[in-house]
Amino acid sequence: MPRNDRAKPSNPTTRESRRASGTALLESAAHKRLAERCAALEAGLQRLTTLWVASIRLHSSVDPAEALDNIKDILTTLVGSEEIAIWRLDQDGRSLLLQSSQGIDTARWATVPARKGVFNRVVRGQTYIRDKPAGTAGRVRAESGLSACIPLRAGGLCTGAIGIFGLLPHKPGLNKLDRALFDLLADQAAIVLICAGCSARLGGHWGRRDG
Amino acid sequence: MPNRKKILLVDDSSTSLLMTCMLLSEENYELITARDGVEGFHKAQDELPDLILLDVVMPNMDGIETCKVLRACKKTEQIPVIMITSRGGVASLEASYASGCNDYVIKPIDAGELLAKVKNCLGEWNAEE
Repeated sequence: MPRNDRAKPSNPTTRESRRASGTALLESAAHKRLAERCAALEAGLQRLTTLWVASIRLHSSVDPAEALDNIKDILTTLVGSEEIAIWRLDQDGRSLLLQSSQGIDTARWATVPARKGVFNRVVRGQTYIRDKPAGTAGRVRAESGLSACIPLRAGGLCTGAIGIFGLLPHKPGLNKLDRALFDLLADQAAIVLICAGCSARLGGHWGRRDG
Repeated sequence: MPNRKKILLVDDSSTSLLMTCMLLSEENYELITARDGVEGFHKAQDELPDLILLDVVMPNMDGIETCKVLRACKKTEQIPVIMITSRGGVASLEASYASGCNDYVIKPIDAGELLAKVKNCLGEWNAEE
């Protein structure tokens, strides 16, 4: 039987039906793209809101004890950890001295060597983030149990560190937003603590309370 | 303009209060705050909010106790309560529901989840959203 090279004209109903289903597919793909874009924008908006809230809270006090409490409150509420240490670097830069903490063994973490292991990297200005959540595995070292450690940077110098130990049980790990919060704390918390220290030394005689 | 829905936020953490206020501020709700369970209960009686967001861990009277007191009071027994908790375990959630809460949100708060649960409790949920 001779082969017919010419395509058979298709049934108009089938053509319309194909066109309709093609349009539906395109619309569905467009809706999907739009939904993904909306979800990304909402996630971005939440990231910005969280960073704004952290920044406002971080700068809300010049009292040294309140400033330290605010850092812990930010980490508890916005990151999801209730095991926190805040150290200051001693004058010769050899040790980190515990200034404030929550939910950890204070005796164990009262003084840590600043020139060993993870802390050595941190006092050089690098944030440490553990790949796996704390307590899952690994060698027992001075810094075991740390989920993250953030340098406190001011004017190109490291003045201390924030240690984050266990995360809340329902939190699987640290995410992109947590890392952005760590960057914010690394760059702003030291300046807040320095200002609070100066304010305490001046006895509050540097401004006037409104009202 | 229809009356704005009133939401009472009870939390001892200033960071948590500010974050929740920011997340709800776009929705044109009237927001009232209290710093612990005792203040929260008094404000609930005075203001009769449409919804209460209640932190679990608080000084003076914690969220579980506050919710029980709210449910035992004639003026506040019908007000929906969403518990906000950093304790995501089954025991903690069971204790929250046993105290009479309608729903719960786990910290750190996810904006989408919070808004969906708030709208659901206020009867504002739109399936198209």
